[in-house]
Parts: sequence; C-alpha cells; structure tokens
Amino acid sequence: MGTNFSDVISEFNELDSIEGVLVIDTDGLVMASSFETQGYTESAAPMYLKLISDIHTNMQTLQETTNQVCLVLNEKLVLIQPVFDLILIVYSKKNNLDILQKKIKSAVLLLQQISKHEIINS
Amino acid sequence: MSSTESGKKKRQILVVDDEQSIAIGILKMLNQEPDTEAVHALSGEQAQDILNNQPYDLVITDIRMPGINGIDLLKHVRSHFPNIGVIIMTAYGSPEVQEEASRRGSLFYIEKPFDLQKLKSIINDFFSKKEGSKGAAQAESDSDIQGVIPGLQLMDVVQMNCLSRMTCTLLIKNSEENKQGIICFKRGDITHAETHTSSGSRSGKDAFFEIASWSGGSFDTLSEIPETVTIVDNWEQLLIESLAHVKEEENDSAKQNQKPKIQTEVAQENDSGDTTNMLDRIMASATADAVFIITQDGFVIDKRLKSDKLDLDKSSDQISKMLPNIVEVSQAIHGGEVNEINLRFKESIMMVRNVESSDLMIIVISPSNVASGNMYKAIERESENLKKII
Repeated sequence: MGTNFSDVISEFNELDSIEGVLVIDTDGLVMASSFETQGYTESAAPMYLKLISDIHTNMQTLQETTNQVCLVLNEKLVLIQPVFDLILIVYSKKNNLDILQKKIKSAVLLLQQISKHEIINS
Repeated sequence: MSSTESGKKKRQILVVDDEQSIAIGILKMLNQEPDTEAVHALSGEQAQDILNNQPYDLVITDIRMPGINGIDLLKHVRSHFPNIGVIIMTAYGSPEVQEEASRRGSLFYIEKPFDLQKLKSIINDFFSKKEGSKGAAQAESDSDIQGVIPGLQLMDVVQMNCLSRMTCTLLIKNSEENKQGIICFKRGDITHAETHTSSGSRSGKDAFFEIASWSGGSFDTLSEIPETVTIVDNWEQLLIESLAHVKEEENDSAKQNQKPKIQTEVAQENDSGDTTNMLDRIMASATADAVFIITQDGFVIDKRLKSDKLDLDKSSDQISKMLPNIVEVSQAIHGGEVNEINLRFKESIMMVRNVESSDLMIIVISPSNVASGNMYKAIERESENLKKII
C-alpha cells in the first residue's frame, strides 16, 4: 500500500507541542491539513506559497537554494520545507525542538515518496 | 625515615624526569648534601606510586613526560599532598614571561637548561621557608625564586599548558558567583576562551581576560577541544596582556569605588559603542562566514566578511525584500512579532534576528555544521550591546 498524506500528518501526532501541519502544492492547493478550521488553511496556503517563492527568488539571486525556512515568532515556530512540488508547513510551540527536526525529516521522506510517485504516474 | 647524624630528619626530594641524564645530574648534586636524600622517578606514574608509599618534602618534576605529565602530577600532589612543594622544570619560557611571573609572585618554574647551583638555591630557599626561617620568608617576597608553587593558581596552569604544548580544555567554575568558563589549548596555543556569568556571555580575548580576573573557584582539564578559534594571539603576549588587564581592572575598580555610580555606567556604554568589535565577536563565536547589521529597509550599518563568496550589499538587499512577506505571515497566524528567521541552505545557515526595540537586524551566515544555538547566543549577546548604543 502506498504512502499518503495522512501518514505525513500522523508523523507529528505524538508531539503535543505541534499546533498544526499543513501540506500545500505549488499551485497553492491544500493537500493535507491537521487544522480543524478549513477556512484558515485555505487562506494560509497562498500566503505561504507567496512567501516561499519570494524567498526562493531572492536567494536564487545570491546563488543559494533554500532547503528550510524557520520563522521564530514570540509564541511559536513555523517551519516551512519545500519538497519537490509540495511544501510542508509545521506550526510548533517552542519545545521538543530536537524531536521536531527528526519528525520533519521523516515527513519529508514520506513526501518525497509521494512526489516521486506522482511524477512517475504523470 | 632517614635522619642525619645529628638526628635531624633528612630533606626528602623526589626528582621526576624521563630524561635520565638530567635527573642523574640533579640527584648527584642533591645527594652530596648530608641533610638531603633524593630519589628518581622516570615517569609521573612511578612518582605517584612513590609518593603514595613515602612522605616527601619536595618534588622536582619535568613538565613534558609521556603518560602522566608534570601538570597532572602537580594536580595530584596539590590534591593529595598539599604540603609537598613542587618545582616545575621546563624549556620554552621567555624572559618576559619569567619576569612577569616573578613580579606577580606566582613562583612556578625553572627554565631548562639551568645552572644546578640556581636550582640548589631555589631548593634551599624552599626549605628555609618550610623550616620557618624568618629571613627566608622575607627572601621569598623579594628574591628571584621562581620554582616553588605555594598554591596552584589558574594562570599558572594556563602557562604550564602552553609550555608543555598541551591540547586540552580547562573548565573553570566558580559556583559561589555562578561563573563558568573554558580556555582551550591546541598544541600549547590558546585558541579559544568563553565565559558564562549571570551578567552574560563572552568569548575570545575578552573572555580570557575575564577569567584571568576571577578569584576563587575550581578547574578541571578535559581532553576534548572545540573547533572554534577565537584567539590567535601569541600565548606569552596574551598572558602578559591579561596580567596588565587584571591590574588595570583592579585600579579602575579602586577608582570607581570612590566615584558616584553613574560614572561607571557611562564607562560601560563607551566600552560597548563599537560595532567593529561586536561583529568580530559574532564572527568568532558563530564561526561565521559573514555578519552584518542592517535596517529593515536593507541599509547596511556595518558588515564583516570572511570570504568573497558573498556579496553583502546584495544579500542585505534581498533579505530586506523578503521581510514584508514574512511580517504578513506572522500577522496572519497571530504568532506575535517575528524574532528570528532561519534559512537553511545546502552548505550554510542564515540567521536573521531582530534587535529588540529597534528597526535593526543582525544577520549571520555560518557553515551548516555550526550549531544554530551558537549563532543565536552570539547574536543575542551583541544585540544587548547594540541596544545600549541605540
């Protein structure tokens, strides 16, 4: 049985510091979300897409490719990780950070499998 | 226990040196004295065994030996037999350091090659003092005795680590005042120092000078050293500077005690009002390739660059272009103000942090193997200094 987006979201289930996980594609469509309010994720998706493409463009000028963006806010962290044509966005409180990076790595591996599969099928 | 014909206890001396020829010369000289009995240990390990089985008055040890070296032996003696005197024999010491050492009264080594009569005179002075001779006690304060270690001081150990070309880390703790610091040595060179106290953290020469000014506490030697290099100065020069620094601080503190408190605060502000030093310190602490201070409009206030692979003006411009979007995201998700942005690239990490209550940002670009915690600490430390200027 193949990997699906639910597996990616489930990767973070055991961490109580996680506030929410979002997977969007490069068209701004929400592929998966652990947020209960759908309206919120729908409005957030284009905002993140714009942010990541903006960072990508600016960093390309400096001949760098961004693998991960972490925004440290007063009350939380937002980790944004592009994976091929998908973008993983994780909202977390400021604890369990060591485990968080491991979970993100696992989720990225799953997303890579999904993305590759999509590419082969298309 | 051996005694002289007059029934007086003989002076027991242990000579520790892995070079037999030097030890034989010293033993021959010492054993010619009717009131002295000297034996030889070829290693630090052997010396510890001998000391555990028989009381000695004085240990004369080489500093560089395989296995337990002179410093380890000195620590062993200090912790187990505090009444035994120790003379360290070493090469390498420069006249400047010897002069500085004897001037401050920390009596620690005799330089190889040495005149046996000079060693003899040091030994006699030691015993005169030990046996309660008033004249000798006076002599200690104003003569050129430089071999006896009356108590192990931190700077003595620092010097001996340098002299013996050690690669190690000295961990210094002062629990009472909640201070902790490290001094790192690589093949005898002082490569890094850092301090963590209730008033903040420092690294590099500043940290070294701070540690040199501490009184009290304990220290331990660790075999590991971090890769961080924040000090490139010659160790002898550094020691002399630190002694001068301590003296200056003592004088300043004496003067400040007589002045109103507000003058102290002004002095501190002046001291921190230089972004050049701030950037240098961040470069060192975060092992950074580049550091710059910019306004949120992208105007570069100051910058430091290790290699020419980055165009700082261009970088700051690009980063400032990204900021409106980032601020928009943070407002939309109600996460509060953006404090920090980390961008991970293939070979480097870029950390962008706001300087609280200002429109300034400090940006550090370090290789990807540098812990982001180190980058964070380096920025935070200097943010405080930057806030003082603002």
